[in-house]
Amino acid sequence: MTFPLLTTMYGLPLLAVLVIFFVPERRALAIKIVSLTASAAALGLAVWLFFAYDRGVGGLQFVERVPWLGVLGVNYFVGANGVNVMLLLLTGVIITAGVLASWDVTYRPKEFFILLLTLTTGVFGVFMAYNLFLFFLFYEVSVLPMYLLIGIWGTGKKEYAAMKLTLYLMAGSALILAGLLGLYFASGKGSFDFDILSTAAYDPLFQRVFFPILFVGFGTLAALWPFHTWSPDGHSSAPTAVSMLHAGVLMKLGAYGCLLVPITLLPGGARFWLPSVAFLSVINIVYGSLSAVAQRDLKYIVAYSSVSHMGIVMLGLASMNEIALNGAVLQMFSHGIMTGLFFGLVGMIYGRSHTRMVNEQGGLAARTPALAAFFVLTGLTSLGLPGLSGFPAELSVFLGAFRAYPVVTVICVTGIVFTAFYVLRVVQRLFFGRQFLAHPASAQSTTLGFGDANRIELTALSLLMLFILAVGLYPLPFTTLIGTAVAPIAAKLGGM
Amino acid sequence: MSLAPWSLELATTTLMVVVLVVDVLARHGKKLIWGCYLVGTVALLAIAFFSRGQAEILGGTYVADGLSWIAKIIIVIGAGLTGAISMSALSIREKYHGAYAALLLAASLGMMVLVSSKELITLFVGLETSSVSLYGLAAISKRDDLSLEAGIKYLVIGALSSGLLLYGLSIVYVSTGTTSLDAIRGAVSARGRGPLLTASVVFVLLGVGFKLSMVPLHVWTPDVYQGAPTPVSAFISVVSKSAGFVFALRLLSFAFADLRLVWEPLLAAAAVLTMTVGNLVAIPQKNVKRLLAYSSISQAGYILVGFVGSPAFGASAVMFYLLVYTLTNVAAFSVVIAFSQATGSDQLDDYAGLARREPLLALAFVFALLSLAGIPPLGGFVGKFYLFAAAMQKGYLWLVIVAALNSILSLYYYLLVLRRMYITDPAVPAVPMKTAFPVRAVLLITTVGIFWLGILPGPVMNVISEISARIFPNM
Repeated sequence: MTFPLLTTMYGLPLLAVLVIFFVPERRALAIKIVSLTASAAALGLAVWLFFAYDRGVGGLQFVERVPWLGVLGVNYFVGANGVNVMLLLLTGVIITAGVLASWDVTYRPKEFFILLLTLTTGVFGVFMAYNLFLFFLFYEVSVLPMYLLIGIWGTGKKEYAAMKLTLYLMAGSALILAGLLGLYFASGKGSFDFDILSTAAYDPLFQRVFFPILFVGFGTLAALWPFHTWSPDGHSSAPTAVSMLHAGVLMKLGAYGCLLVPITLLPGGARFWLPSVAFLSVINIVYGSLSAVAQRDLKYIVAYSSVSHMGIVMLGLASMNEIALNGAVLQMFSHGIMTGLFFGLVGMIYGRSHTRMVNEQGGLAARTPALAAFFVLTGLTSLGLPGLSGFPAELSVFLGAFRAYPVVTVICVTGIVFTAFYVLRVVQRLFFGRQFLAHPASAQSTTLGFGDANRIELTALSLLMLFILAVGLYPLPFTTLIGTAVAPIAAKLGGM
Repeated sequence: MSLAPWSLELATTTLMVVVLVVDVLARHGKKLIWGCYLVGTVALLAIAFFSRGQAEILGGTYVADGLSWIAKIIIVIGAGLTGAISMSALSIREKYHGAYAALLLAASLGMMVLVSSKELITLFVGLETSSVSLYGLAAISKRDDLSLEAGIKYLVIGALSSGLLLYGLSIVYVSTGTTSLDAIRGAVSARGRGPLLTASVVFVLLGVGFKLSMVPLHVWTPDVYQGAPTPVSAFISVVSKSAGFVFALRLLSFAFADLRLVWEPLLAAAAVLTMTVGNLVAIPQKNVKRLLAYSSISQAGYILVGFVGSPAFGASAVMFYLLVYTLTNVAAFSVVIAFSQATGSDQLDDYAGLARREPLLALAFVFALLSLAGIPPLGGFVGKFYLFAAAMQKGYLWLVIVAALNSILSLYYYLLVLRRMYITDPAVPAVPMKTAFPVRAVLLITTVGIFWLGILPGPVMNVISEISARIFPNM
């Protein structure tokens, strides 16, 4: 038997949960070290997987398949194709950076890290499960801990935001459940295994009915307009690491679900419905970036920017051709890392100035040059500057989308202009100009009295930035990897 | 005539007599009584577990088959766990403990008869034996007005529904000329659906609906659960309900199999009503026992979803869910017992900050509630998946969506409990609580069970689906 690489990958955070359960709460440092070790080790495995995956062969590799619930045709079945490899890598990077960014959590650290790592276990699981029962199981495990993470450690109207987020996402998963059961019985194969389900020929009417059920179910988590309203509230109320994980990884889970289940399994339904999805993603892109322009709270700006960037992913998925699908997956990766950086930076700034309002602080670059530099780079990634990861991703999406929907794509590209506007304005106000800090309570301007990023923060930021630069400067290994997985899907869809 | 199919019933009767004798002979024999009870129920469980087989006695009126085997295991587990949480938690005078334990056993005995009988009169005798014992149990705290009220309410509504059921069964007899379920099944399929039989289905549903707390026959549930001693509420909510569902399986899915066109839409509608009303009314509840009462109403609604599935698939989903539900609801009620023993309160607001005070107790409650909501990797998830799959197999997409959305509705009020325990700060200084050993043991057993049925349910599922394939062949 070969080494169960994938099981180990989600097993590590799960093991850490069990270990932390028995560590007394006052030993916070030990808890953090256990968490960091587990997530760094999982990241190590993900990197190893990235290099070990055989691009020449493609398809599902590192497969583990064991019978589980015979009555329902459920196997324990995990595997990884090119898309999975990218998303597992993303998860590993974000969770490691997230644990580092949570180093200063002092309130109930034990429960915090238990929940954070439970969530991570679920996310890793979703990105490798190839039995739809197992997939759904991990999916729910990764959504629920969010409620307590936001409710306990969040800020602002946290309890409202936590409940809204949880109920929205669980309502989405109710649709997914119905859709998966429909697939199971319509296939007539008596199995939930993905490869078996994908060989079934589904009736065209069935495809048209079930495609929207599944797509809306997953699309809710990907913040597809008009099911996105949980996202700004949830992301802005969540603690730093949770925003990073949620915007960075969990929203990708929704987009990945859309790609894996409805688009791949129901190509007939996809051809019928995806043009409407393209229309919705225009709203995502333009409305998201315009909303970001209107916001004054840094976290809301970043959250709306996520809505806008996820629109680009959805546009790529809706375009049905290989280059757009490739770009969509690369955009998932790029946006995950980028938004992780954004939320991490916002958390670090808030930890120093105690305000997230753009107009209550200025000139921070003089005090925090490193934070400013990272912020500028992240902002430039967000608006798609060549050399950074946003550029190849968005370029491929728009190239592919233009073939499928020229008019729509032209409208979408205007979103980039708005993005440039809000990003540059934030950078200018926050980091340059007169140094001041207006405390919301006293309304008095004071001089800045804090220092630059410490070593732990720098490690977290550099880790994320490394991948932005890698993808931006040399995207080829990433795109060929993704290509091995999306080419068959594009062929099945028959897009141009 | 072999005694084997009766062995469990005989053993239960013996245990009941032993408990009563100990009660008479030993003064202040509370510990002795419960000692006998617990040792006895462990033995009963062993007997129940090993008496799997296929036998018919009394000319086919009384059977031991797979369905009765599973149901009896659930009954004995429920009775044993209820006993364990009762012994320390019961706020009644010590001299009533013997009567209480004996009534628990009598109620269990009645349910065993109910699930084993294949004949209308035997069914009814079993049903009444258990119901009458339960009326007594609900009212056992004689000096507590709420408990008395609960007993009276339960009695009045229970008697009414028994009357309706009996009326329905008499129509069945009139139109088929027999009381044996096998013969009824044959007669129904030979004669087809007529106005009389259709009417009888409605009456039977009304009668059974009371046991299952099916909306609109659920009104007694919250008052009885709140007023009765908490262990009794737990017992009614799991054991009595499970027996009721097995009864419904025998009557509807088996005997009335050819009247499916009549009762299937009725049950689908009842399922929607039951889940939705249960969940909506649970949301504003302030008392944890009332919350669990409404939650258990909605749980009955999910189980009804399984009934519309094909008989074999549906029955196995129902049986599996009953097993999960028994463990889960006993766990939830045990937490309530532990909490009210330490604080004297059943108010949800007093649960504020429980996670800081008693992390393990709060965690056990979380697992129980999330399993009720159907969150993986807990048993409730697999159970609901199975139930919904049964309905989906018959093409009930709308019902599955309604049921799944209802689970989300229920998640809302379960999360409100979680919020109190984990997010809200305690109003009073957090004093650690003392939880009695038996309650802790029950919590441990049930929580392990919930996880086991959620992660490795394979073997149990295989056994259950074999059983239902045998009872409902070619259906």
